[in-house]
Amino acid sequence: MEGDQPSSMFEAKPINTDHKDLIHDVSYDFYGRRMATCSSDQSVKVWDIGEDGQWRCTSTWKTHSGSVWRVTWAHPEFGQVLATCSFDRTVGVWEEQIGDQKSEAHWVKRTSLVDSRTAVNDVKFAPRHLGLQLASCSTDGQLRIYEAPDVMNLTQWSLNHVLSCRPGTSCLSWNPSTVHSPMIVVGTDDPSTSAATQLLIFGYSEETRSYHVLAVASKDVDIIHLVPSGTDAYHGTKLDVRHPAHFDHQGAQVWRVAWNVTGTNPRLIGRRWLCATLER
Amino acid sequence: MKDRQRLRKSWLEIKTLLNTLVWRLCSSEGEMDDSFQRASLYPTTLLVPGLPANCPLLASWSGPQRLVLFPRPTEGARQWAGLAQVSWDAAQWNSITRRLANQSHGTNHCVVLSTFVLSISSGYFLSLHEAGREGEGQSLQGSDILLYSRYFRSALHECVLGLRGRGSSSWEHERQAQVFSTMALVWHLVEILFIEVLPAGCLVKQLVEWVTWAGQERDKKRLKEILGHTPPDSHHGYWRMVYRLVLTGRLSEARNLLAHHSAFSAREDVSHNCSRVWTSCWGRLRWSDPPPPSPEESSNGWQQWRREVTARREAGAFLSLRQLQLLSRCAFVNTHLFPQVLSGEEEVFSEPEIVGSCESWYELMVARVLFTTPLVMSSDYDLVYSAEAAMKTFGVVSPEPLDSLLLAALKHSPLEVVYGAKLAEFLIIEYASSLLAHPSLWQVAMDYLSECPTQGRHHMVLHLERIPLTSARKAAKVLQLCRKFQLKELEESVCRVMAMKELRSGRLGAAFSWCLQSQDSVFAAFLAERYFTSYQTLGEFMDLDLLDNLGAAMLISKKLTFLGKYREFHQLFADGEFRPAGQLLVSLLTSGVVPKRFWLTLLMDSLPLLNLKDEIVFSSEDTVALSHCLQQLTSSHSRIDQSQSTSKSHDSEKAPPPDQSSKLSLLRVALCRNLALATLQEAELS
Repeated sequence: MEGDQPSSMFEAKPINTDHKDLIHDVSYDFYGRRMATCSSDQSVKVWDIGEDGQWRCTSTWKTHSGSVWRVTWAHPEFGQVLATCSFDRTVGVWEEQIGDQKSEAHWVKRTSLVDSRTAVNDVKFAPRHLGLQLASCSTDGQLRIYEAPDVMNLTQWSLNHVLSCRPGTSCLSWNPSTVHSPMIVVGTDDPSTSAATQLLIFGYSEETRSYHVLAVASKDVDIIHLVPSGTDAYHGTKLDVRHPAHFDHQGAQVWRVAWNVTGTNPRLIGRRWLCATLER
Repeated sequence: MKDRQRLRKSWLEIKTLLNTLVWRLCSSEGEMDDSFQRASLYPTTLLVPGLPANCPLLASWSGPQRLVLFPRPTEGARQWAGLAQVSWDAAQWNSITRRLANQSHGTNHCVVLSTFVLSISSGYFLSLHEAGREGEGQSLQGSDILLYSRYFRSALHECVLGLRGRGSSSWEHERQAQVFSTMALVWHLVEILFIEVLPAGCLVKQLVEWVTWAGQERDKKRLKEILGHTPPDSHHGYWRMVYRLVLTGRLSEARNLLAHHSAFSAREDVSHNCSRVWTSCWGRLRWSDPPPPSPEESSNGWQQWRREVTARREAGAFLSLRQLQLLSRCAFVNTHLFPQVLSGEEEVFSEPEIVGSCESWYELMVARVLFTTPLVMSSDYDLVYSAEAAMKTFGVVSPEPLDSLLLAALKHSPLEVVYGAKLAEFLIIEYASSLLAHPSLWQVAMDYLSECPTQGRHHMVLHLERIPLTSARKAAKVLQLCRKFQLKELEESVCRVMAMKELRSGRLGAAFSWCLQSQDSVFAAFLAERYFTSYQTLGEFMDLDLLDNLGAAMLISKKLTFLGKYREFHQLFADGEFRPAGQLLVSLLTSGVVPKRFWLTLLMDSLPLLNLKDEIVFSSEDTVALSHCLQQLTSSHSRIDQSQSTSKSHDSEKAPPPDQSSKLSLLRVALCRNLALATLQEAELS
């Protein structure tokens, strides 16, 4: 940033990671003080921020036998726990073990979830208030939701739900809001035809104890405003999809989807920024 | 009461409006239109150094106002495996430190100053509200608010001096200094209009003070420069300075400056005439007298002034000045303007020389008000009229945010009407969010958020739960805030996170102490179980002092109560009080508090009591109860034995290993013997 720029409020600095291949995901822990990166070189690196604001790699280890697509942190209430998903069709759950010396820390595999038949494209932990749950989505369009009933025993996970989406699910995100019932948004993207890009929002209903589709949005919609419009057959909240605004946008692919902090705004990141807002 | 609340509310609105709006004056790239929400949607493009060109990027949020970027895998970017971290708003707090570090100054004086200003502004803000809350019976004195306002202004001024005081001030310092001095300007006006409301006639004096405050140093320097010239009137800025002095009511200084004019000293009668005009008319106004004159006196004074000036002008007293003009041959000096200015003729304020000697439209406005409507009150429309006319004359076509802000203050327009509803709250939240970009300012941010009635709590919870708990002290501070605002769930969450950290390092006792702080029954039960399991494996208690001092905290969870009671049992046993110990043991086993997997341990604890030589601790009923428990245990084990062959077993109830079955048989023998002895004893007694 040069001194004569009127608003030099943005600062950028590069971080050299030493990964041998492309980085597919970067994820921060709840407080933003630890970072995990995963790469096509099949390894995951965990970084800690020091007092000087520099990131230092504290662990690096091989996690899968294929490219690692995503890595995600659990809430610190459950300890230091990571989940990774990979092209090798598995999801790994890892926990940090502290050695005798404080500086020694290594990560131990707690479990490997092998239910998927195709590559697993995204894995995310549920928000804290839902307990220790994990969702993963695969290339064949299956969305799986696991739960660890005993939070101290990370080796036992039960597969609670399997939901079918269109083939090509590439990303998912849990709604972090504590005032709404559990909700997941899944992005599907068939690279062969750009018309298949889609957002699916699943909501959990206490009555049927299952997830069902709440709303669908296609790629042409840029700002989605979800308004509760009565209850559907499951006594869940049915959501109306409205389009209040439109940005200049040509054919985005679905790469990532995330809710904002208050859980009212799933954002779809393609080549352009898209936003959706959820009304309370 | 209502007035006080209204006062407090407008204080809040004004203060935060200034704190944020003026901040955004220099920071925002989007236009400041009526919709603040929309302004945040204007995209900012940033060139990030170090990333490969023309490469699609992926991004991930890394914290408040921080983003990390990495290239999307395509053929071209195969060789590049790196990240770039982008942050904003932190620059407002950190950039000075970073630059200083790079230039090896080694001090962060200015960032300390900035944070200091905000801390004390937050401090005053709070103490004001606290003062208002504490003394519900007392009224919130206007003088208190004035005091706080003056403290705030002096803090701003100090900050500006600090930022400008460094030897080699960078562009960033200057920018920040400008922001702060603009804030001071607006704040001062607000103080004059709303806080220190003096009787009629005094407002204009305050306004003059306001306008000259910022430019004092600069004017002094210029004056010195002009006087340094010989002769002073040959300096190109001479007449401009004279006009400035007249327009800002500093007539005596203007007279002195005129006295330095070469013509003056030459012609005695000219100077004599001028001083007579000055002293007789201006003196009567008692302009600088400390106790402000009453409205009637002021009014009389001004009227007399006008009459005198007009009379003298008509009598030609100022002709001599026109001669001055001929003498000096300055084409652009129209000294006949002086009497017009002094007598308050409106058209003269559009003359180019007059306009040209003002630095900004509000200086022109104040000059105009001073000479045309000096008795104006803050609620008069004259003020607004003058402001708008001055703006027009000055050529302000599209008002900057500062201009609209000043105009809004002068108009007394409720800010919600001008900018939309819930502005104050929105601004406070924005400001608090920008504070959070710097790690040391989070507590200040929380204080601000706590003052927002509708959305503050929600934002507070969201931000507070993401404060990194880097040390026990920081966690304690967060917990204190949680308790203050009754955020029970967050309190439990924070305690759990800290307890988990201790647990991972094997410090069960410390984990317990965190859990007890938040009275979290679920987690307490979990920890109690863990504790007992460790006792079973180690054979002894860890962290005994914690258990011994549980006290009433025992009751938050049944399992914890059990643990406490169990420890009590051990203590009784150690003290030799076998009877009470035995009773306690039996009550524990029969109460159903103990999970089955711990029964064996408890039963084994009863063995020494059963095998006592000289005392029979358990009555027959007790013995029967114990046997019953034993029976339940063995039958469940045999059930597991049977089912083991058919299905997978879970780990909670395994088939007893060989040494356990010997324990069971030992127990059986001891219980039977005790039953016999007890029955005999009871039969003897009855």
